[in-house]
Formats: sequence, C-alpha cells, structure tokens
Amino acid sequence: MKSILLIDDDQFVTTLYKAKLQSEGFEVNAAHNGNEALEKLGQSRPDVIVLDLNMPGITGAELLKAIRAVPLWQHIPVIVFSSGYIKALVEETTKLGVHKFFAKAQCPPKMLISEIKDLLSKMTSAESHLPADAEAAPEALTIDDIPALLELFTASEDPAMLHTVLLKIYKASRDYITRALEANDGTVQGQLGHALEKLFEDLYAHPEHITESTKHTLAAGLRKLGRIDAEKSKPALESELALKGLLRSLED
Amino acid sequence: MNVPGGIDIHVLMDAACNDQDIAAGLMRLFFELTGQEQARLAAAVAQGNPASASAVAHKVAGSCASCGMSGLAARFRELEHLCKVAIPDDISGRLRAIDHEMQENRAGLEMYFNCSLSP
Repeated sequence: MKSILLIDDDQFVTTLYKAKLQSEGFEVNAAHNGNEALEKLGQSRPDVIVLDLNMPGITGAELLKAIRAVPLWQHIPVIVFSSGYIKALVEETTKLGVHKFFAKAQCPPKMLISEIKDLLSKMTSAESHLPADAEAAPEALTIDDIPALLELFTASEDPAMLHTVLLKIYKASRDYITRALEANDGTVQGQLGHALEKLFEDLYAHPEHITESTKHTLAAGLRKLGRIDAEKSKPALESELALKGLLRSLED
Repeated sequence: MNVPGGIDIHVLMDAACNDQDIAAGLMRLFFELTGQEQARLAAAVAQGNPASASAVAHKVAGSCASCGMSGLAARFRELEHLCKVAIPDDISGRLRAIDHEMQENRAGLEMYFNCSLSP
C-alpha cells in the first residue's frame, strides 16, 4: 500500500486530508511539526510527502533541507501545500526539489488528492519496470548516512532539531560504536568508542551542552572512528579477496 | 437546503467523501479548533503581538479554505497580511465580523446537517 506523510501544524487540515486519502486506499500518517515529521520519517519511509511551509519552530523549508540531507529520503517526492506563498520560502524549497506547489486558498481538496493519486500511479507504473532488487530500499539509517547527518548537525541551531539529528547520528553510527566498544580498552578504537558513547549520552540528556565545540568534537571523533574502523576491516577484506582468488584458481 | 453564502458546500462535501456524517464530524472539529485559534488571536491582539496574530490568522485561513469557507478565509488572510505590519486600528471590528460570520456559518451548517456542531 502506498503511503503518504502529511506535515502541517493545522490539525484540521491533516484530519480532513487523512480521512479523504485513507478512503482512497492509501496509508496516511500526519505530523504537526518538524520534529514529529522527522520521527515519522525515521519510523517508515513514505512514498509522498505533503508539506506546509509556514509552521512554528522548524519551517517547511528547513525541514525539507533536513529531509534532503538524508540519502534515504533524498528522492521522496514532496508536494508543498501552503496557505500563502512566501516568496523566500518558495525559492528556498524550489532549490531543494519540490514536485508541485499548491496554495490552500486556490486548491480544493479534490485537486490535491487528484495530484497525489496521479503521482503515485506514475510511481507504481515506473516501479513495475524495475528489477525486483532495485525496489528494495534500506529502511534503517546506516554508516553511509553519517556525513550528511553530521553536516546537518553542524549547521543546525534549533535545539529540538539538534536533539533529533543527534539521535539519528547515534543510530547511524551504532555499528562503529558497537565494534569500538568490543575492541580492547587499551586501543585507540576502544577508548574513542567509550568517549563517543559518553558524549552521545551527555548531549542527548543535556542538549544545552551542544555547542560549536561539542559539535566539532563529535564530528571529528566519529570521522576518526570511521577511519580506524575502515583500516581494521581492510586486512579482513584483503584476506577474503585472496581466499576467493585462491578458490577461483583451484576451480580453474 | 440553503447554506450561508460564504460556504462552498461542494468543497466541504467532496472533502468528506460526500458523507454527511463525516462532513459534520469535520465541521465539529473545525469549530472546536478554530474556536481555540480565535482565542489565541484575541490574546495576541490584547498583548499587542502582531507577529503572533499574523501566524494565527495564517493558520485559520488555511483551515477555512480547506473546507470551503472562502469568505472567512479571505477575512483571515487580509488580517494576516495587515498584522505583518502592525495590528490594524479597526481590529475590534474585524474580530467581531469574523466572529459573526463564524457563528452564521455554524448555524447554517447545523441546519444543513440537522445536528449540533458543538464539540
């Protein structure tokens, strides 16, 4: 079933469209602010996002920037559905990739619904031409997402946004941290793993401690841990490749 | 059945999948939420906070437009734009007019749906 995420601070608008879209056979989730939207996105990747621009706290444009920074969410089509066109916000979101803009005042519900249905049907048609494995998208955040998340973390100033992104960085870097914690405490990897685990705990419990300096420390620590992790896994990879080569030569 | 001129009942019924019960339920929610927003708007005006008044007016304008209340949507949109500069001198009259139209729409829809739209 195709899914839609409605992001609008107006509960009436989300209720109205949720009911209508569900009656059309779609799975619909609603979020009423930027942080809730990031949480919902983290739980499952929607096929389409309907986004209001003018929201208290994180604006639609800031949220779209955050969404586009995560590889898994980069290509989700976004329809902007907003009460007014604020020129600067429209220009900003256009650069970030918006499928279509609709002004609430000039768009009766059936117009928006029809656009969503049309977009989803085109997506279904395109997907039917893909090989089976190309459809499978990883649902969880991975190590590959860390650079973009760190960039977003360093650029963010909103405390709530920082809190959410921090959690996502932690989830994405869980493999690094786990391997580091399993390493000997006497090694740089082990010490760095413990220090980063402690830093994550501290910043998550006390977001007021997130400063330019702690952001830099976290980013530098994760990059270093990433390099050590890659270096350590290299010999294993090399011996695996050597073994495969040997097996191939034996087969020949 | 007649509904007040400021409501496009086709927009509302279409949004409610042409189901009267769903439409009435949506309107109940609408009047509950806009009632809260109108109180926030009055508080922003009383505090002399035009930015907050503009943000509330913006939000309610969107709700009104989504359910076919184009007359109220236009009033809130105008107020939103005015409050971006300053709270207009005739704000009391504007709020009274909004309240009057809101009550008129509610009474008209209660007759149309033949039920109370109180939360």
